[in-house]
Amino acid sequence: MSWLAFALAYAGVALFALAMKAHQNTHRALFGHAADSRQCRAFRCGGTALLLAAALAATHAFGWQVGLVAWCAMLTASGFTLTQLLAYAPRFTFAPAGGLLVSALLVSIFS
Amino acid sequence: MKNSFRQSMTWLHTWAGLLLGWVAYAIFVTGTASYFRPEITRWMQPEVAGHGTPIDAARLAARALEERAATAPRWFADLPDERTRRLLLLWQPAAGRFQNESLDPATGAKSTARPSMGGEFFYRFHFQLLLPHPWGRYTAGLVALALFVALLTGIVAHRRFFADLFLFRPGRIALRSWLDFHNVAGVLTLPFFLMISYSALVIFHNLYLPWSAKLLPPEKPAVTAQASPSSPTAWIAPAPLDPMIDEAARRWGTAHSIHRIEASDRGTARATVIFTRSELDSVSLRGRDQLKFDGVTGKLLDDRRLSATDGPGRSVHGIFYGLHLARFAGPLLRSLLFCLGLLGTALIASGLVMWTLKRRPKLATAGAGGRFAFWLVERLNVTAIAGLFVAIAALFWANRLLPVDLPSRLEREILCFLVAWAAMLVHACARRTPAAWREQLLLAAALFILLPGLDALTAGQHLAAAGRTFDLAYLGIETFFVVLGASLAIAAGKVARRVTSEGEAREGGARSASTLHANAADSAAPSSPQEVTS
Repeated sequence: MSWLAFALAYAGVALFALAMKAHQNTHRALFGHAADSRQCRAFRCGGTALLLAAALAATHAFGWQVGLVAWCAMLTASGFTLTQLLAYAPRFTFAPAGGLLVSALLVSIFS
Repeated sequence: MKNSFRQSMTWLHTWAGLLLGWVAYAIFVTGTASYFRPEITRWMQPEVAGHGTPIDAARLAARALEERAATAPRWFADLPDERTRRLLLLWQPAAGRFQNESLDPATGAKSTARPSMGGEFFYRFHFQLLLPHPWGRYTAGLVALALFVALLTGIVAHRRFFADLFLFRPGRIALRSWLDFHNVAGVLTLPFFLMISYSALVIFHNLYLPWSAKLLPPEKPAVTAQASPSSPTAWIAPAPLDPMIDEAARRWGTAHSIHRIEASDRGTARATVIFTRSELDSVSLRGRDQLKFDGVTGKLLDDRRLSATDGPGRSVHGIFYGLHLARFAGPLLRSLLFCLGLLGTALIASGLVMWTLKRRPKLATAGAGGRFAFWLVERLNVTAIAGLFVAIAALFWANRLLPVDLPSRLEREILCFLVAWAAMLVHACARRTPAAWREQLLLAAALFILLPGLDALTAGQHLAAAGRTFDLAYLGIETFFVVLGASLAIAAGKVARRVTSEGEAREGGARSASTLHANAADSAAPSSPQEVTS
């Protein structure tokens, strides 16, 4: 469950990054064009939903007290991972989000 | 005069950050290490092999205290758990000071482990800085306050960091990438930093704000007067501890169980015995269960949570204290918090380095005083940032190399730490800046990478035993030494490359001009890219 929380947090911050002006180069590399305002809004909504889901997963895994602490720590960790990937391997920034999510879902279903 | 709010805040951020940055860095490094205090102790005292259950250890402790201090009015026993392999006995004789003794938690015999502070060194350094009693804590409090100020002013000074979130542009110009890193690490660790620096101030509120206790109404009804440990007129035989231990085991189980036993007023009619459970599921340090027994009849008087009778002030204090110590964190969360600590450490280091990078262009026009200050800051940066790792590595080396039966061995380990650090200061003063950075980082890297080898040579049988039992604490620390050493080596290499690749660094200077933070100090940076070290 904590793995799922991290995966959700990472996917959430990655969506937020896609909506940011500073990262439109990455968006262009992925989709061939910069995100318009409607897409940006969608990314932000999706990002918010994923981060909230991460909070739920974390509180489910650790209990609400420790879970909230773990959630904050995971936000930082996933944000830093994203930053490093955007800087050094921008092409592999968003694929891991999907991979992480799928693996985390599988793990939480079968464990 | 600073003519805008933002400039004032930037000024405050710069100087609060610089003047207390070196101490803050050392406090952060040792504090981060303290997340793994028992594991470091495990490595530094490899002779302590097993730990048994807390219940077994409690029985051993009760027997040992009965042998050593049958008539002492006060007893304490700190019991081992999965992480801590330590059975510490404390007792206060009828007349005299507290005495203590460490036992081997598996056998109950006197501990034969090499004298070493272990992880306790990092923990104590973190808030006492090896200074005499109140001064270390005052200094640490000042640093926590400065850190808190630096955080809040930093939000104003680096106001663009939300627009540039997740943005890190390495390898263009040195200042640009340092600033990117400072911004990203700063905004990402902001919740952690706020929590850590604020809770640091809250923990010692009695020390920093001693008047609050007098001004505020008490939250708890006054505790019934603590009996002075004077010898009782007639000794009333206390109840044996073993049935109480059985009762605690019945209520709490054997694994995550008794953490501390405290027997007070032994020999009098008021005698009590209090069992405290190790905390795990609640963030607050007050979220621990307690059993209170009558010390004469052995009857259970009370089974409650410490926090049950807390007022709001005590609850908040307990939560922040708990957040700071993070005892609630399991291995996964603990490692995550450890990484946040490392990131915070790097944040402070990047701020210190940036101070010199931004001022180097103006050095040519500076007076003698300004040049000396710059020289001094560069030296202190090298010593504080890179030299500290050499000193820590020296501590670990001393732990393995000093003979086990050396007199005052524990103090000599710490002496090695201090001597190594002082040597790094001398070295930093003697060498040019880039060379000093590179050599100290390489030295620290080599010392850390070679540690597992040294361990195999000097404590091979313990290492082999740890390998057989798959002792995660021991093997994890060995692995971390290598990873840390490799990271330090990479850092040393980057410093070296930056010194030699000025032409490459010159590209891309223009685009960063608008985004560099702060004020006039930046104007010179884009046109004359400065290296981290040259």
